[in-house]
Amino acid sequence: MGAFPNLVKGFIYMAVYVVTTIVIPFSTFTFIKEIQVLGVSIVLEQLEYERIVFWISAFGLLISACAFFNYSSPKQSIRKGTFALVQILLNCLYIWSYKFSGATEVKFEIVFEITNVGFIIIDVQNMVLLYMGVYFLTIILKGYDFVDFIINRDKIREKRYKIIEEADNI
Amino acid sequence: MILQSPELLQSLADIIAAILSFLRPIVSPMGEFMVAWMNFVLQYFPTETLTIYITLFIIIVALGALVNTIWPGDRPPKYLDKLKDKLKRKEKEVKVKEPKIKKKEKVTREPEELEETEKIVKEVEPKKDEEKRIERKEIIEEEKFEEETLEEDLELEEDLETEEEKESIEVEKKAEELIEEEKKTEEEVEEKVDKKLPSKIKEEDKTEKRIKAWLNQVKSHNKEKNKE
Repeated sequence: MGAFPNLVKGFIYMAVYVVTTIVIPFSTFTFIKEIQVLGVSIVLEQLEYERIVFWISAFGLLISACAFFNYSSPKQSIRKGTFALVQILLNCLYIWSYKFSGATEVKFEIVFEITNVGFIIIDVQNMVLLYMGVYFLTIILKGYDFVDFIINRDKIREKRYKIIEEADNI
Repeated sequence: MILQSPELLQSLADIIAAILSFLRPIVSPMGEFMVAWMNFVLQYFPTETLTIYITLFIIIVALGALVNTIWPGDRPPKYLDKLKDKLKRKEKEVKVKEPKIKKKEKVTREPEELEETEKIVKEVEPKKDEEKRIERKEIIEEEKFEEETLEEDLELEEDLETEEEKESIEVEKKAEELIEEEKKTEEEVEEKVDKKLPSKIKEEDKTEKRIKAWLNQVKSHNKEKNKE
């Protein structure tokens, strides 16, 4: 692929990551901040709401930027491997930021006609830990790719340029 | 709506719990390790403003766009091209130098080779000259032989002609001798006839005629041969 298609690809993936890591979580947390069920308003009793949004937007931006670099780089290049690995690590931090910001224990207050009836706490710590385990495996895979790209750099280049030369000859 | 269907939720929660409980012994230790290093790293992340993250985002995107436009991976980078050019030049130089080296080697070998070749030439040249001389001699002899054979043939032809002439002359001489003898005999016969009987004279006439006819035949025969 040429430079322009690579950049377009990078921008598309960046947009996808911006949507999935910033827009959707932000809108979700904003939506559930004040939710009414059968006339009963369930208010997100999160003093750390702003903190959550902060971490989401912070890591979301970094992840999206890395996604752009990753997907606009040529295949099997070292920069692609590097930024893929960085992206995964940032993803881990992003997910962990929910826990760090207190989002893993989401506490909802049940308010009925001004009076506070009680509260609900959703503990998603186990879910986050599971995600972390999956991400650990992904990190190992990406690390392997990164090392492979470095070790077999010459072979990959030869292959790539051969394919390109053959395509030019055709 | 969601809360109104507790049975469905319960079943979903049960499935998720089953998966989690199954994977927990494998995945949770990994997750704990991850949590440990992330807690350590997150201490150093700024928590006050988003400006740092926004600037980082812009820098990474700009850098990615710049790097991937300059080196899209379609063609080898310029420094590799330069290296290739250098390698090609070196190969060419080596190719050009190779014959020089061979020449040098030849030059170093030349005196020895020359001596050997001179010896061989000296040994071979007289042989060649002799061979050439022999060949020339053979050719000359062959030519001479051919000439001689031609001459001989001509001589033979001439000789044959002369022999034939000689034979004819001899025959003529013999014929003349015979005629002379006949004349002599005729004279003797005439002398005797005067003395002998006329019957005998008639017999002698017959023999004379026969001899003359035979002589005529011989002459005509000789003439035909000469014509041929």
